[in-house]
Amino acid sequence: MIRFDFWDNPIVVSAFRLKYRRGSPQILTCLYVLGLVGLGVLLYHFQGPSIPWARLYLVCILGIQFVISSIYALTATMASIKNEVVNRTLDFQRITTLSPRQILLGKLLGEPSGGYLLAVATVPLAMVAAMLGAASFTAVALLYLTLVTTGLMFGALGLLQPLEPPSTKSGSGNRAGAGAAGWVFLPLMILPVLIGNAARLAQNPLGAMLAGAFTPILSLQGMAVGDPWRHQAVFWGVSIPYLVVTPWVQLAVAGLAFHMMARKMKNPLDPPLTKKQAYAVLLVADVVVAGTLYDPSRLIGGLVAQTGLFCVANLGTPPPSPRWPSSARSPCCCSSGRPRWGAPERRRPRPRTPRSRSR
Amino acid sequence: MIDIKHLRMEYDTTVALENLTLEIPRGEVFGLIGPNGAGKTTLIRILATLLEPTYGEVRVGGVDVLADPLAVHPLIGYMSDFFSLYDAMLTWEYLDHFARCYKVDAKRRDRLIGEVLELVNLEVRRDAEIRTLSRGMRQRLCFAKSLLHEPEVLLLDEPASGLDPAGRLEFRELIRKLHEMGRTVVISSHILTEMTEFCTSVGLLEGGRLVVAGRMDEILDRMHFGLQLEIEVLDQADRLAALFERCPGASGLAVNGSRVTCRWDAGREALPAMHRQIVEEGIPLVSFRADSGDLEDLYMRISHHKTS
Repeated sequence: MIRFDFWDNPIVVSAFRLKYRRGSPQILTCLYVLGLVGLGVLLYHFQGPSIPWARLYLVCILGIQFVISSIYALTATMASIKNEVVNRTLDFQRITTLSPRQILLGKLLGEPSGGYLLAVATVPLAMVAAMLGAASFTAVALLYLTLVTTGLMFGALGLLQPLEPPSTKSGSGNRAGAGAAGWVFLPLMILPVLIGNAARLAQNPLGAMLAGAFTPILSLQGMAVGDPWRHQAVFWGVSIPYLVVTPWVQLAVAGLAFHMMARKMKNPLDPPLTKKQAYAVLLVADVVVAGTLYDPSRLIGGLVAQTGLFCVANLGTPPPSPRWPSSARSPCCCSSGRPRWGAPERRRPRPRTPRSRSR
Repeated sequence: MIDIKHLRMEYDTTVALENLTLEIPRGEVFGLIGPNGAGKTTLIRILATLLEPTYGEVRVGGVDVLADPLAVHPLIGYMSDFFSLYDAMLTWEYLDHFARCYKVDAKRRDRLIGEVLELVNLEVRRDAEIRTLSRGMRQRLCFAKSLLHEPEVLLLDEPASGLDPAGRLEFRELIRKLHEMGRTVVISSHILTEMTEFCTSVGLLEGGRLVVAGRMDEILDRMHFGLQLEIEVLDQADRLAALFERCPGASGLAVNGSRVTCRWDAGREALPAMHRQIVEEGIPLVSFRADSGDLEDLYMRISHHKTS
C-alpha cells in the first residue's frame, strides 16, 4: 500500500533542502507574481470590448500557469531520473528501505516543487479575478484541481526513462540535450495553436476527446467565452463537462505512468506492464474510443468504424505465443527485445537428485 | 549468512551466471575474483536486489531476496565501482538523506552521521560540497553511506579501483575494522595481493561458473599448492641449490644471485629439519621464508582467463 506522508519522504526533504539552499524560489515567485500583476495592468489598458478584463486576465493567468506547470513538472522529473541513471545513484536509492513507489513519489512531489510554489502564488490573483465576476468559484476551484493533476500527469510522464546508463559516446549526451529541449519547445509551439483552434477541435468528437480529456484547453476556451461548462465529453450518449472529466483522466494517465516506472524499477528486465495489465489498458482505450464515437443514429456505420478502430488498436496487443516474430510484438511486452512472458518459472531450485538425497 | 542455490542469470542470449551454488558464513570476508566478464558484478547486484535472476534461490540473513527484497535492504550495504554521489549536496546532507532513506530514527541520526564520518576520517569535510571532495574522499563517503544503517552484510564491487596507495591502505584498514566488528563482507577486486591480506575466504568465478570457493588455506591444500620457499644466503648459493636438488620435497628450483627459491611439497613439518641441515652444511643463512602462496598464485594457476 503506498504511503502519502510525503512530508517525511527523504527525497522530498532533500529536494526542498537543495532548492532552497542553491536557488532562490522565493525571489523567483515574487518576480513571477509581479510579472502577472504587470500583465493584468497591460490587459486593463489594452482590453477590447469582446471579453471583460477580469475573465481575460483569469484565462491568461491559468493558461500561463498550465504551460509552466506542465513544462516544469515534465523537465524536473525527467532531468532528475536521467541524472540518477547516468550518475548511477539510482541503484543506491533502490536498495534502501524505500519502495520504488516511494522513490518515485518523492521525485514527483519534490523535484517540481518550484512549479507548485508558482501555482500557489497565482491563487490570490485568480481569486481577485473570480470575485470581479470572471467565473464562479466552483469553476476556478476545478481548474486549480486540473492544474494539480496536470502537474502530476506531466511529472509522471517525465519519470518514464530507461534505467540503463547511456553509452559513453559523446553523441549520446548531445542527443539527450536535444531531446530535453524538444520537450520544452514542442508544447510551447503546439499549445498556442491548440488554444486558438479549440472551438474547431471541439466540433470533432475524437479531437475534442484528446484535447479536452488530457488538457484543460477546452475548459479554458469555454471560460474565455463566458461558459466554462460549455464543452462536454459525450460518452455512450451521456454528457459530462470536461471540467469534471479532465482531472480524472489526467490522474489515470499519471497513475499508469507511475505504475509502469515502479515496475521497471523493481526489475529493469521486466516489461513495464504485465500481459493482463496491457490487455486491460487496451480494453479501456477501446471502450473510451467506442463510447466517444457512439452515435445511435448511425449504428451500422458507427459499428464498422468502431470495429475497425478496435482491430487497429489490437495490432498493438501482445501475441498469445512467444514464438511470434519480434516485429509483431507489442511495445507493451517487449523489453530489451526479450519477451518475459512464457519464460520458465523462476526462483525455484532444481529438484534434488537421488545422490543428494542420500547425503 | 548468504545462501545461494543453483543461481542462473541470462541476459538475452548471454549466460552471465550458470548453476552457481555458494554459502558464505557470518563474519567472513569473502573475496570474489575472476577475469572481466566473469559475472562478479552480476552476482553482487543480485545479492543487492538490483537484479532478478532467471533461476535459483538466494537468501541473505535467511530472507529470500526475490520474495521479499525490501526485507533484505536493511541487512545489506552496497558500494559499486562508481562512487556515485550527489555533487550538489553537502557531505552531511548526503549522509542525512540516506539515513532518512534507511529510516534511521531522528534522535540517532545526527550521532550516527558523526560516528561514520569519524570512522572514515571525513569529519573536517562535514560541511563541504561533495563536488569539492577528492576521489579518495568520495570513496570514503560512499563507504560511510553504506554503513549508516549498520548492515550485517557489505557488498563491495571493486571498491578500491582508481585509488592511490594511501587510499587503498586506508581502505584495507576499514575492512579489517569491519571484520573485527563481525560483519560479513563480500568484496570483488582485481588487486589480488591486497585481497590476500584481508580475505578469509575466496571464490573464483570464470565464464559465469564458480570454479572454486572456500577458505584460502583449504583451497591451497586442496590444490596441492605446497609452500613457496625463499632463502637468502651471504654466499654459496650454488651449494644451497645443490642441497635442494637432492631433496625429494623440493621442485621448481631457481637461483637469483644470493637468493634461492623453490616449491616445497614435503609439508611444514619437514621445514625445521631442512633449516637445520642448511646450517650444519655451513651455508651462511641470512633469511629463510616459507609462504603458502597467495591469491595471485591461485588465480594464475586455476584460471583459464575466460570471459562470460
